[in-house]
Amino acid sequence: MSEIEETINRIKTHKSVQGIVICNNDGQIIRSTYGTESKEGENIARTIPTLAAKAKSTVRDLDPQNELTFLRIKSKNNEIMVAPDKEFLLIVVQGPKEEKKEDE
Amino acid sequence: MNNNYQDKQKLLQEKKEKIARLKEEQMRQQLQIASVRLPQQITQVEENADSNQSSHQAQPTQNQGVIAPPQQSDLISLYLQTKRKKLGFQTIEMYSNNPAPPQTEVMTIEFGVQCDFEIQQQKQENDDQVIPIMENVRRDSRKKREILQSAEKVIEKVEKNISMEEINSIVQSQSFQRFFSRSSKTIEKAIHGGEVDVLEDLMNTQQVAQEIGKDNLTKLLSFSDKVYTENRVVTSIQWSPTLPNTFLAAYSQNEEGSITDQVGVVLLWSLQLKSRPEFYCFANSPITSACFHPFSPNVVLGGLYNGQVVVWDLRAKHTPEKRSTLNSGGHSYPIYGLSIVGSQNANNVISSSNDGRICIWNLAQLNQPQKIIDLKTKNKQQTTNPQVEVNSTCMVFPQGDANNFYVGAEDGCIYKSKLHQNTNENIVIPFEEHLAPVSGISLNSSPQASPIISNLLLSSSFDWTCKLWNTRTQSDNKCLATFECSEDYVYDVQWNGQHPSLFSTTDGEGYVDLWDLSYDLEAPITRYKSGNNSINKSQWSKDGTKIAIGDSFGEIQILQLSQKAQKVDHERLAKLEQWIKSEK
Repeated sequence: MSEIEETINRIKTHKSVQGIVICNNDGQIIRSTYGTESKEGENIARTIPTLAAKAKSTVRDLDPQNELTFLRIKSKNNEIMVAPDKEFLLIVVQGPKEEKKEDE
Repeated sequence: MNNNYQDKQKLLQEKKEKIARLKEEQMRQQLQIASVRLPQQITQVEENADSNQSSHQAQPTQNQGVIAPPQQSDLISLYLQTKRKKLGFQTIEMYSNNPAPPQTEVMTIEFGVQCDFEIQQQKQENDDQVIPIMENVRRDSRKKREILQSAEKVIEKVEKNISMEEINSIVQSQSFQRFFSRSSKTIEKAIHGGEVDVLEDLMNTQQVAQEIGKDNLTKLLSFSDKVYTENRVVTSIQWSPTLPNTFLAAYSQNEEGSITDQVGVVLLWSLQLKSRPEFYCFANSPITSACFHPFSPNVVLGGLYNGQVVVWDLRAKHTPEKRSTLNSGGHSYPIYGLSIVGSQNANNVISSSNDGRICIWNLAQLNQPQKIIDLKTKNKQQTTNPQVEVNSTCMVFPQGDANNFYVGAEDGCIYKSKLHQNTNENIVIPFEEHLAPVSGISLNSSPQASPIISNLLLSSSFDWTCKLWNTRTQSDNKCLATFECSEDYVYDVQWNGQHPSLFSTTDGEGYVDLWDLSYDLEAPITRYKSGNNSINKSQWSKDGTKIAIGDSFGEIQILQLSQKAQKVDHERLAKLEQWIKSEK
């Protein structure tokens, strides 16, 4: 259990990471660094799983032997990275690129 | 809570009304012989959806009537109806109009509604109800019944927070741990901006790469002619520069034939004409080398065992149109190297014979060579003659180069020389490493090759090996690599004309080895046994997909190269170039 917390912390403290959400395919939050005050975490957990499911089925449709390994949405304000799984999703929201490369 | 209850009641009421209405319609429609009414019903569905009513009516599997839920008895009767209707033609139309989506996973969730991926869960102000839109639900009536039944139960918020205990139990579970370890690594790699390569995938692809070796060469065709090719050694093969499916093959004498047999034969084969050769060309001496004229499509040149150069015109007769004379300069030894250099308007025929003599001919005037060059090299044995002739067995010109050429000799050296030298002497630069006569040389002529790769020379020898040389570096004259996988004389080596790092060697046991330098410098990627006869000559087709191999009994086989082997792996190629550069 603590490894999970450690890893979440490690990811969270990376410079440009804005938040982490672990949820299941239905959108139920298992872990979130957003806290309950802001609706962001909930919004993410509500919307991303459907998108990831659609992406997963698209990849499968194009080639039945293929499967989705990683989904990355780059937008103007941030970047959402989704590592999907059979039942769960690990979602990390990262700020724009300029903020990175500070700890190298 | 009261509000919600009332709302629910209202909705139920409306539902009931609708049901009644629709039932009437249904009865009416059953009397008609209706055609497919699908579009109507879809619009009905949309209307329903829009008006935020319960959209349980959405699913028409029949063209008649809309299934309306919730009462148990109704459902059963409806189910029975659909069962009956299923046998009808109309149902089939229905299916074809709206085919079910492939591989849908209809998940049964306690607090959700069975739907496919088009869930639009609208969180409204009164958040207690979630109204799903059931599009694309499978037209399985049993499933439908389940859906409709569960839809009744519905309508708890999907967003219901699961308790901390549940969360904890999930987190403790094995599957979660595994998921987390894998995905967190992926995410961390991605965060740092690097390539997201999942390690498991990498391990899988490596395995695939190793399986390339099988089936790279498959036999396509075999050419032989009872009369003209039996028991003759194939001495030369060349693909036509103009016609993609034609190649010529020169044969030596049939030792066991009768006196009346043709002594020297060149046959033109076409891949499309499998039963017999397309053209015959004869000569009165065994033919040791032959080639097409690149600029005149109907001209074939041959070099004979007695030193003559002959020209055939395919439009005319079978015997040579022109021939060089046996006196006055020219060769008196077998001609092992024959090529045409130059451009369309200014070209020359270059022939090299076994005694080290190179002659430059002009086709219009075959009586006398334009220039004679005698290649000589230092005499290692230091007898009376300081210089000794180069007994050449093969000759090759780089593409586009009309001056420099390479000659492989019987003493195991490869000599580089020029046709037109500045000084009077003839300077040859030897590459000495083979321990036995050089049987074949080949220069990389792939159009995709970088300058580094296009300077690579391959040589095969009777010492069972092949060697790779970098012709750019003059200093050491050491070979870059030696390929030793044969256990017999290696008779020929040829670069593939398209793939920059692929080449083939043929040996006396009948093996054709396919080597790809970008994969492995020490072993061939395929060893193909073409039979028990030694393969004397080979030649890749212009597009690099086929290789023609000729053996010592007159049979020519065409082997097809697999698609996998034709692929050029640029990363590996770049690594190869690096290695070559560093080997100076």
